[in-house]
Amino acid sequence: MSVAASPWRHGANGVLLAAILAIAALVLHSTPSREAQQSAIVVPGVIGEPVSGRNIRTTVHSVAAAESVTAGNGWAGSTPGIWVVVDLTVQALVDDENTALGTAVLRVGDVSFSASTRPQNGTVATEQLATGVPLSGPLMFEVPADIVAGPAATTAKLEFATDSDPRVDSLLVVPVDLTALVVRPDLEVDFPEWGAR
Amino acid sequence: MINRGVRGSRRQRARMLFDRLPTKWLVTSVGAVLLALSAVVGGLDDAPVLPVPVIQGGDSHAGTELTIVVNSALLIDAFPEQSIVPEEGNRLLVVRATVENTTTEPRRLASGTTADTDSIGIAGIPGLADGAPPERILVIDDGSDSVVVQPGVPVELAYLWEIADDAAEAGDPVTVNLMDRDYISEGRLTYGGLYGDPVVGATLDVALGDVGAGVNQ
Repeated sequence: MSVAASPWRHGANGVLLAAILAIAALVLHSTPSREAQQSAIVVPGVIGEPVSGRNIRTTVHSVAAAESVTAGNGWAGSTPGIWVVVDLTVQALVDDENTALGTAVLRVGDVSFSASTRPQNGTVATEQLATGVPLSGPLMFEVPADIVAGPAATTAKLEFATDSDPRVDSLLVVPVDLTALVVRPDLEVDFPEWGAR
Repeated sequence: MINRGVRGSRRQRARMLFDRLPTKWLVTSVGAVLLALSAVVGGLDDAPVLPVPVIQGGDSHAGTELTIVVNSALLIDAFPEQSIVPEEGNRLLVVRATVENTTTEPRRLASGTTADTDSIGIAGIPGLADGAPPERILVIDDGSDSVVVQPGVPVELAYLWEIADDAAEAGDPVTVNLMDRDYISEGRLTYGGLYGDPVVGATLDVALGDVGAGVNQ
């Protein structure tokens, strides 16, 4: 009896093992990766239109490039590269405790630049946001001069979030074509002010 | 048939000999083999410590993240315009260096006790720990602090240490350590790249200048 049953049992064991392995492979390959689980929730936007995430609303009004920038507080820092100046309005939507523009990044291909804090209070990069009260002003990005003509410059992106680590929260992404910018010798920008543009 | 038997018995005899071999001999012989192998890579001698490369003033040091050129080192009384005034009896030691970020993302430079990217330390000044990190870092162009170096945009920085009045004078050499660290990996529990402990990537001696109360240059 047992001699007759053993081939069947071996076969059944094999099938069971194969089934377990198949299920394990399915679980392994269908589980979202860490990137998929934690990545930022991208909200695409365009220049000139407001774009809203969970706790941030931003309107990029214009993007300009200049060799030297004078901020509303009198700051006029020089750079061996150039400045990409973004005029924007930003506000918090639900909570403004410890909420600043933690992520203000210009991404050109693989390279990312953070909004300069060199102009100090002449930029909105360091300002605290307020719930429901828009703040308008400039962001200055210090970039190498040749990057605005580089191959990735047509598909550059501006990224905004309220935390410096934008994972599992809204990340507003506004595409910008840097090659369309004319690099001006100098540019004067306004001091950041409360209110929409 | 007979041959097989003989071979079998030989194998059995070898097996019996092996079984009778004392374990101590086995351990000793394995140890001896390992020691002999270690002789290939220098035996039991201390591994040679590679000397830190010494570069000349004006030479650039390309690290993993930053390329640094030390331009000068000088003593100054204070930077009153930036509200940086040392305590009575102290002066400021300033190292001017041009730093370029060669990575693809911004790097915040460490000063004081922050755990950001190390770039420069100094040694050989009495009253200051060897390799002491700067107390402040300023962008020379506009005096702003909390320095973030953007990729591909070199920036000239002033690294500041407060030292005793009589600790150094013009002409004294100061040893400038250019720091570096290795990229290890993206951690399993942490997010983003992990960098190893900072090491001195290169060092150079610079003669101190003295600009007295300070001339903006």
